[in-house]
Amino acid sequence: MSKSKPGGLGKYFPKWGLALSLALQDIRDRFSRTVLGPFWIVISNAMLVIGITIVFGALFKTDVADFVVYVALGIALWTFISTVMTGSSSYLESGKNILFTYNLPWSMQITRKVFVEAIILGIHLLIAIPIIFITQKHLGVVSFVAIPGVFLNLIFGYGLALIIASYGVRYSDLSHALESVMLFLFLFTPVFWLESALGATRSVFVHYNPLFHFLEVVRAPVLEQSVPVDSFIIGGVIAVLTLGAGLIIYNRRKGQIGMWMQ
Amino acid sequence: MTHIHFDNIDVSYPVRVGGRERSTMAALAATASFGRIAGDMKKIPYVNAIRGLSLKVNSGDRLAVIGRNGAGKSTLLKTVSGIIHPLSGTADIEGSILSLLSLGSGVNMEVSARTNLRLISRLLGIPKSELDAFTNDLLEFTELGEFFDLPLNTYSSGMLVRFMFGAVTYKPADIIVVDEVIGAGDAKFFKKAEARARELFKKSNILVLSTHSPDITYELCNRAIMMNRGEITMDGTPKEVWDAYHEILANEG
Repeated sequence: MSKSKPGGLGKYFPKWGLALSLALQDIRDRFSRTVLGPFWIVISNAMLVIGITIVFGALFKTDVADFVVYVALGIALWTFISTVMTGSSSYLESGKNILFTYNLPWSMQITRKVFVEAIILGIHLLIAIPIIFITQKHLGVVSFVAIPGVFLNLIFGYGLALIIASYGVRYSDLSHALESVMLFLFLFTPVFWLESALGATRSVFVHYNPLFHFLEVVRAPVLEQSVPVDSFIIGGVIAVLTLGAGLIIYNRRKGQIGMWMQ
Repeated sequence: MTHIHFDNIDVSYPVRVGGRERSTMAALAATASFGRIAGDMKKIPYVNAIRGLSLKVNSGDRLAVIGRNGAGKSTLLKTVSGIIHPLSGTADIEGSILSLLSLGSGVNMEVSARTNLRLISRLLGIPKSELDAFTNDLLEFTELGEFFDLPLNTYSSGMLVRFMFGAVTYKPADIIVVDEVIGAGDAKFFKKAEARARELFKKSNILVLSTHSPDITYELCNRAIMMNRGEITMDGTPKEVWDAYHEILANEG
């Protein structure tokens, strides 16, 4: 094993190149028997965004052009974080065959699955681009700050996946517990509703929700042409801490993972 | 230097009795109440598959692992492969590992052998420049003919074994771990597989093989251990160990 000890980034994220090509294969496999292929991701997402915009756009009496972009970005990021949260406890188990046969670092399987969700996030975000053009939203240089915002989400998601995947093999009801938590958080986080609609006193609490900041770092640069410095700081610190904790927890628990997968 | 050093290792499997010991909720309750509520969930029953085992395998050793079913042979092989880690003791393994414990993993049944090889080559760490050589070798070895370009789900089980066996045995490794002898496939292929396996075993520095056959042991191995109830009861030449094993079997009737 010492022969192929990688240095640099590969030390913490071994075989990420392999993980990426397996992830692309996963996406192709998922739609291999369909004519529309990955376009299905676009359709189901578009339906959700349109539906929410029609109903809640009317309820909040807000400008539809702004609101549809707001919802499209919110749903895209939320889908990423929530599928990673609820799915990652079975990441290792799903790659059992490969991990048991080939001499690979097991974290490669976690990286692969997060890449799959990241690719889907990318497709979702691409949908937002034509929407922005159709609604003739003005974009400035500041809007590109959304790109590092997306990366913060990816780092956060990868850290979460490492933590949850490490415990998920041991605790079989973890995914159920997280599913119910995520449902609650979905309503609690301004994914599809406007913070302003809550009124001054209650909207303060929104800022205590870390997930709000992960949405804000992408949405604010696009919609308000502003850089949400506090959200970047809070989101950045949480993302880095989560990743650090993920690497530590995974490395501590990796010795026990095999035992629970027999 | 390629080696396997186990020092006083214990390998156990958790016994899954109910849902409780695998429950997040029970774990949270136990932690929050300092074990007063659901405290028993941390006391999971374990099966000790290997206990207090020490073993040194050095470069050049071809080790046969002999013993009855349930003696801990498979667990030892899995531990060498890195699939399962010891709960206590130290395991120090140096060298690239190839484990032939099961076949038919990591393939996509809906695409052809040729397409699958592209993926398998990456899993095995075969460089892109070698992909053509890899593909040609497999085309020749598997004798699949026109099936080589048809999806795997059109194959018979024998053809699948041939393909998987050929693919994973293409590249030599420092340490090779083999569980029993891989069956299936027609007689002609079996000879071919044997020849290929032997060739591969010769190229490795260390071979660890679990077997029920004295003949295979004599031919491929220069050292043997006997296992019983998770412990090594004897370590010696293949002849000595097989004789002792047969004696034990005879005494017990």
